[in-house]
Amino acid sequence: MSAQNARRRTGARDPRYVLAFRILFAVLLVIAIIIPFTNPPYFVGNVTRIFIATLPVLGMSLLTGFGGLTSIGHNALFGVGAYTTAILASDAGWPWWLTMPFSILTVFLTGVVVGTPSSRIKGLFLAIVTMALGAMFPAIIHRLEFITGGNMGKKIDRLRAPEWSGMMSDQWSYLVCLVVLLACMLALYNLTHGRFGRALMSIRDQETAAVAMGVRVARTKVLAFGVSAVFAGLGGSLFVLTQGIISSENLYVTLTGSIQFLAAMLIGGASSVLGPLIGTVLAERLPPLLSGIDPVLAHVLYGVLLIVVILAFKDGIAGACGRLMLRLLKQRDAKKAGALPPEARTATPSPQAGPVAPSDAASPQNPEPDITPGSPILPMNTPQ
Amino acid sequence: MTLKNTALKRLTQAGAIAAIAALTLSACSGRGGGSDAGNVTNDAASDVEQVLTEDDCMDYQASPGITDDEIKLGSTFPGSGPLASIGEANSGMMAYFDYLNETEGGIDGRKVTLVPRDDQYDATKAVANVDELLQKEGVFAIAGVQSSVGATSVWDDLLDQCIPLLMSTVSGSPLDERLAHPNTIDGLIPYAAEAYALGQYAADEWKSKKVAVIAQSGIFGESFLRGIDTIAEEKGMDIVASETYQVTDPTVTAQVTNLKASDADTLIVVAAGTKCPQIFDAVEAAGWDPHIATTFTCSNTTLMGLASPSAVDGVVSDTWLQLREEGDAESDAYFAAVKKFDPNLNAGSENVATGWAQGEVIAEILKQAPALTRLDVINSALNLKDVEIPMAADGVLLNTSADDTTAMETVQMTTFDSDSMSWSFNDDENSLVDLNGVLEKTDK
Repeated sequence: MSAQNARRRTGARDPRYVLAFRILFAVLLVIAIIIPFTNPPYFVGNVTRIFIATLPVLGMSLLTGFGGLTSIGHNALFGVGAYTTAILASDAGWPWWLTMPFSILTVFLTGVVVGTPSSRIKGLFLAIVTMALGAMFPAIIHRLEFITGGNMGKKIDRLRAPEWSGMMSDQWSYLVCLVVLLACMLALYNLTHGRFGRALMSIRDQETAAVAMGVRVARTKVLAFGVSAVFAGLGGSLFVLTQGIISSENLYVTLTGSIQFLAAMLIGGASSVLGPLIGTVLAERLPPLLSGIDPVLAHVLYGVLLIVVILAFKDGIAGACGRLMLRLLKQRDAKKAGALPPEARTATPSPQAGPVAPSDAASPQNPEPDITPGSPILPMNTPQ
Repeated sequence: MTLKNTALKRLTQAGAIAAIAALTLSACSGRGGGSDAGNVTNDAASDVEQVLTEDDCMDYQASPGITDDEIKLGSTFPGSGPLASIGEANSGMMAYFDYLNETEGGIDGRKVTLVPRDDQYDATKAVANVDELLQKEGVFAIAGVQSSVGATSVWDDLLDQCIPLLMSTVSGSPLDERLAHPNTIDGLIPYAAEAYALGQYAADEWKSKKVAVIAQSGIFGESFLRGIDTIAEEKGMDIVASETYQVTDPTVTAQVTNLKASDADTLIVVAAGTKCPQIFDAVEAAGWDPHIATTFTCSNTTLMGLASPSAVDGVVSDTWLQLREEGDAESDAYFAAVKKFDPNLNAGSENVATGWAQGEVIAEILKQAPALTRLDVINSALNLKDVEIPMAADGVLLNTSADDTTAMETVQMTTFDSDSMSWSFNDDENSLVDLNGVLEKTDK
């Protein structure tokens, strides 16, 4: 009984699905750890960049995918993180690891300030307010040239591997970014599978009902903005630490950066942990891969992919893969159930479900309402 | 259930092993490098002074990217994004190399190829691209990096390994930084030197006394201002007003109004992109009629065409390139080659011609290198003596030395005629400006 309760609370699905997800994650992790030791530095650098660009997308995923709050200003939050680290590391001469907590704090506070209007305005209007911030940011950086370096950029020393590690700098940077990315993915998973996540999703699905159920809407929204900003800011900090330069013309600091983050989130899957990574891999690597054919064609194909993904599966590639996996599992069950004699079917129920009705073997095994990320938890109209 | 789980686990494990095996195989090149250059000496070349020697280099590799029939160069430039027009220069450069390979069979029997990489004017992408060009493509040298931030973000690492960075934009960098990077040859006229030329022409030809300046804020504008300040002091001109604008400013009317109030007789416009026609129009709209001199960044015919014809008639600028007019044999050859090798390219664009000319300079440097090693090419690039290239304007000779990494040090003044919508060379006595040694004055 207690096990069942625990499952319900964390929104567990078919245990085989969870297992498959865990194995997939483990495989990816093993591959991720092998990469820096078997590939040339430029390749390691490219993957490091993907990890970094995934962080703001994770932040957007929390805000937009789980919270239903649209932000087109994450480029500014990325920039706040990057410039805080750059200024502290170069002008104040702080060691890199010391700049990061301070950078996190600054960007969290910025996120809270930016998020404050979200308690009053929603949807398109919120998107425009955040977009104003995103559009202003490069101009502000340009104006504050004496401290930011303007369009020539702020340069700092790139991360160097400590002596004891015996690694090259690119390998060390890669592993640092990998650890931060994993920590952020874990944080996102825990946040969205707990009390905070449920509160956030209930606001997304039906704000009035959420208020009626005792969710503190303003606080939850502003906090979501703050945490989302921290993810983006961490990306900025790591970016400047690994690339050694940040300027007002850098893609991620301009409004185009926000658009890329948004597109990567939609392609990968707005409400999943792996989705942002999948989306960022495509956003970062597809254009250079296709540009060998034709630089203009690359962007057209990327646009087409975006449209196809959004039309075909609103929960992105990660969501589509998850559904495919579930369907395959159900088909297996249906086959098995069909192969067994009728008495055996009722005699061997799945551990978490009641007896499977012979006439409907493919029905969901778990009759409890499934509180999975991305699916509406209240059966009401879902704003898209 | 356990059975199912085991089956699933086995399947996934098999997949995992396959994925790892594939990854390891794909990465079997590992973290090393090598090259097979063959005989790289060039019998036709002359001796060059050894400015940089192997002792100055870390992990020196002499001739990667050179084979018996190829010289492989790499470039990073904005190929897409809002500043993609700058990247046209690299298309021009590639068209020139194609032309060279076809007409002369390349250099010493080796075809010259340029591996392009798009950086969208993002310095960090430029760094990643250069890493990839060196480690994956194994290029011999980097050429034609068209953004200052990009070029100055890679020149330290390239210098450490003694890799040439040829004809790349470091035009805003001060002299001491240039001299600290002997592997880098500037692809344009240094900004400060160009501004000096504009100022000198105003003083000598127009007898200007009171000069007003409008400049884009940031490093670009500042480098030009260094040159204007220097020449103004030398020639006893007063800079009576100086205004800057941000690229994002919607209008420049306020700045132009302030400048007009200074009652200057000459206006120097240091701008780029669509701000150029905006400034020319604002000057005319203010009812002000000073002599106007502008930087090469405004002199693109397309940009001039955006302004009102009466506002840009008689505007003076400068160039180191030949005029390209139909009917002239050399120009026709150029137009035909561009059309043949890159039909989509606009041969009339200044950027394309600049890239073509940069390609010609690179070919000259490679031709006169005693051997196709990175050190010899760097030293060859620092030993250009009165070199003439077909695309350069008459009188523009290329000279470099250990304490002078700028190849082009002469500019030809030009005037815009709005009837024919084209530039013509000025033929007065002040129209060819020698800029040798100017950087020592502007950057002191």
